[in-house]
Amino acid sequence: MNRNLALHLAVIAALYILHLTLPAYHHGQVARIMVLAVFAMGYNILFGYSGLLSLGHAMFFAAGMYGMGLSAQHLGFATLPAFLIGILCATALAFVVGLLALRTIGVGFMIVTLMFAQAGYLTILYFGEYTRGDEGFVLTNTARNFGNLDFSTADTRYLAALCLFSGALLLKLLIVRSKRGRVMVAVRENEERARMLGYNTWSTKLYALTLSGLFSGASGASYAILFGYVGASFAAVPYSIFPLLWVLVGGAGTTLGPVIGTAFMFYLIDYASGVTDAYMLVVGVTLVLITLFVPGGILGLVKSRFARWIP
Amino acid sequence: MLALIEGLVQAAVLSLTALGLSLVFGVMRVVNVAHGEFFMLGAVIAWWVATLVGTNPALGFIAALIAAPIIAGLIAVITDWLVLKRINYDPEATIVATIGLLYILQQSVLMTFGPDARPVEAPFNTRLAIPWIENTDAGWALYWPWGLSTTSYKLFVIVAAIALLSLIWYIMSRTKLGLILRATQLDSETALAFGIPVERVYALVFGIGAALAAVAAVLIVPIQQAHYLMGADPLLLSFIVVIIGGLGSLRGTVIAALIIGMSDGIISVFFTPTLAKIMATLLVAMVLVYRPQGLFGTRRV
Amino acid sequence: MDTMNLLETQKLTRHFGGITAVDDVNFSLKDGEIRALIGPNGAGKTTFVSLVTGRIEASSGRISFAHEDITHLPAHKRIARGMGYTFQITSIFPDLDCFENVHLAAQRNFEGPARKLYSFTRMILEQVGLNTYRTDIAGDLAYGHQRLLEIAMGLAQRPKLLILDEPTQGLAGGEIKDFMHLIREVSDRTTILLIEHNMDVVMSLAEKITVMDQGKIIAEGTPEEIQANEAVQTAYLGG
Repeated sequence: MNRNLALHLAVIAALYILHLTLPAYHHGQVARIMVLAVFAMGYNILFGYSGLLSLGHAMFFAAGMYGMGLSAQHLGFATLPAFLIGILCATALAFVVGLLALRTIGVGFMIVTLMFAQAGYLTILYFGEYTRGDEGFVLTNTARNFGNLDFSTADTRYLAALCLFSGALLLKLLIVRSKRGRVMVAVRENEERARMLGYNTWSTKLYALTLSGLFSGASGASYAILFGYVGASFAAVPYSIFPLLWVLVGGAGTTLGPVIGTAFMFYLIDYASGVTDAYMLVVGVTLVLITLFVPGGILGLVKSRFARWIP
Repeated sequence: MLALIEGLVQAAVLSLTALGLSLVFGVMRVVNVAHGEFFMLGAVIAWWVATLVGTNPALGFIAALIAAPIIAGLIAVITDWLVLKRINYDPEATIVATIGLLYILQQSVLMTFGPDARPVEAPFNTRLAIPWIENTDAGWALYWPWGLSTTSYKLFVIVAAIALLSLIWYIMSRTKLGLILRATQLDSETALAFGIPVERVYALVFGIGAALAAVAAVLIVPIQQAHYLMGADPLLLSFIVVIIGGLGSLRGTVIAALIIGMSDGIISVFFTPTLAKIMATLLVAMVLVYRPQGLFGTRRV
Repeated sequence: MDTMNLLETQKLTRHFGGITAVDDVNFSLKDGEIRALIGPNGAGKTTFVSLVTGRIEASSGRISFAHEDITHLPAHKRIARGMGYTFQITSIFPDLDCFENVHLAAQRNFEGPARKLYSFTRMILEQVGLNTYRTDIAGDLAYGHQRLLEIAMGLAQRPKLLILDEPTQGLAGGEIKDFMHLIREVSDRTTILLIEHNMDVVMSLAEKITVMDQGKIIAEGTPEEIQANEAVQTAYLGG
C-alpha cells in the first residue's frame, strides 16, 4: 500500500472518529460538508485536472437534486432508483452541455456554462407548478429510506454521507492516477502538445466534464435525500461559484484540496452569516485574496513547500 | 409608439452599460463580471447624492450625474491597481477576481444602504401627450388619446444617451486618446514598445467602463429604483448585447443594444418574462458556440 | 504507389489568403530512411510537415502514410498511427516534471504493466541524457535540456516516422554531437524526417535531402548531389 492511499484512508478514518466524538451541531455540519465536498471533487476533476473553468456547475448539482426529488415526489420512485435517476440526469446533462460548450475555449467556455446554468435555473422557476420554484419542497420521509435505514436520523445521515464521500474520494484518486487522468492533466498543461502526442483532447475534455457532472449530480441527489429539501437556490449562480471557491481555496488539481476548501469555507460562511446579513462579503474577499496571494490554494501551498508527493 | 419609446429608453441605458463592458473587453481582453455592480453603485450613489442635496431634484440629479461616474470610476481604477494589475490581467484569474469584487460591492452596499429599494425623483417629469391620427367621420383627424403619453424625462434619457454615445464615438475615432486605446486594443506589446503607458491605459479603460455603467444607472434610477441586487439584470443583458454585437466591437454593441432593448418589450408580449429570459440566455450560449465573433462582429484572428 | 514508401504526398497544396505556402508538392519517403528537408526561411518546410501531421488542413492534395490515405484524419489519429512530431518552438508540459513529460508520451501505445512502462520511460530519459533531471520541473530546465526533452517525447512514442522540426536549434556543440549519435542509434527502428538549418548536421546525418523554396520542391538527392546543385545555391544565395 503506498502512502497516497494511506493518506486518503487516514482522512476517511479520521472522519469516522469525528462521527463518534462530535457534538450534535457540528456532527450535522460535517455531514453536510462531506456531501458538498463531493460536489467540489467533481468540480475539481474539470477545473483542477483538465483546466476548464466552468461557471455553471450549479446546473449539475441541481440536476442531481431535482432528478432525485422530482422522481420521488411526483413519480413515486423509491429512494434508491430516484437517487440513480438524479445521477443519470446530471451525467447526461453534463455530456450534452459538453458537446456544445466544449466547442468554445477559455472565457467563451466560462460564459457558455454560465448561460446554460442560468437557463437551467430559470427553467426550474418556469415549471414552478412541479418544482415549487424558489420556495422549493420538502421530501417526504418515504423518499428518504432504504431498507431499514432512515436517512433523516443524524447517525444514519452522517454514515451515509461518509460512505458517499469515501467512495467519491477513492474513485477520484483512481481516476486521476489512471492513464486517462494523466491525459487530462496533459490537456490542462498544453493541449496542443497532448494532441500531438496522439491523444484525442476533445474526448478527454468531454470525459472529464461528464465525470464532473456525475460527481456533482451524486452530491446533489444525496443532499436531497440526506437533508430532505429541494430548492431553486441550489441551481442559482452562488452554487456555481461555491465549488470554484472551495477548489481554489483548498487547492486545484489535488485530491484532498477540495475537501479542505469546502470545510474551511463552509465554516467561514457559517460564522459570517451569524454576524451579518452580508455574509457573501466573505466569499468576495476570499476570492480576491486567493487569486492575488495563494493561486495554488491551501494544499497547493503545502504541496510546493513540504510534500510534492501529495496527489 | 409608446412601446417604441419604452424600448428606446431600455436600449439607451443598455447600450451605455454594454459599451462599458465591451470597451473593457475590447481593450483589455478581460471580462468584468462585476460590471453590473458598478451599475448598481451608480444608482445607489445617485440616491445618496440626491438625498444629500435635498429639496431640489434637478440639482441633486445633476450632482449625481457628475458624482456617480467619478466615484464608480475611481473604485474601478483602484481595483485595477490593487488587483487586476497584480494578476497580469490573466483572463481566467480576472474573472475569478471580479466575481469576488461583485460580492464585495454588492454586500458592502447591503451593509450600508440596506436591503430596501429606494426611489430617486426625476429632475423634471412633465407628461407629454402623444398625438395620434385617426380616420373619423369628419376625415383624418389629429387627437391626443388618453393613456398614450410619455414623460419628458424619458425623452431626455434617450437624448442624453445619444449624446454620450456620440461623445464616446468621437473620442475613439477622432482624438489622440482614442488612437492610444485602439493601438492598445490591437497589440498591447507593440503599443508598449511605442511608449504608450499600457498600464495606465488599462486603469483608465477599466475606470471608464465602470463610469459608463454608473451614468446609465443614474439615468434610469428615476424610472426604476435603487436596490442592492439590481446589478444582475444589466450584467446579463450587457453580456447578451456584447456577445451578440461581437466582443469588442463598439458599433455592434450599439446595434445589438437597440435590438435587444426594443425586442425585450415585444418578446415579453408573447412569452412570460421567465421563458423570454430562458430563450435569451440559450441564444447567447448558442451564439458563443457557433459564432464566437458575434452576429455583427467581424472575424478576429 | 511504391510499397516501400512510408509517407507519400500527392499535389499537396495549402493557401493562406493569397499566399501559397505549400504548392503542389509530390513527396515520398522510404521506410527506414533519414531524410533532411532544407530550404531558406519561409520556404514552407514547417507548413509542409504541419500538413503531414494534420496540425493544418490541406487546401488540396492527398497524403498517405503506411499505405493508408490519411488526408482527412485529425492530427491525433495520424499521430496514433505512428507519427512522432517535435515542435520547432519547444512545446512541453512546463509544470510537470521531466519524467511525467516522457511518461505521457510513452503511455499512449505502451502495452504491458505499469512497471515496464516506468522502466521504459527511464530508459528513454537515459538515452537523451536527462535521467539526472527526471524529477525537475520541465519549465525550469535550461533551454538545451528542454529541446532534448522534446526529442525524448518524440522517441518515447516509438513512432514509425519521427518528424523533427529544427531539433538542434539552440543546442550547444557537444549536445549537437550527442544528438547526431542518438539519431543514428534510433534510425534502425525509425524513419526520420528532419527539418534542419545546421548544414553539418544535415550533411552527416541525411541519406537524402529535399530542398524547398517558395512552397515547392526544387531539388532532391544525396548530400553530394545537393551540394553540387545550382538551383539550390541560387535559392540560398539569391533568396
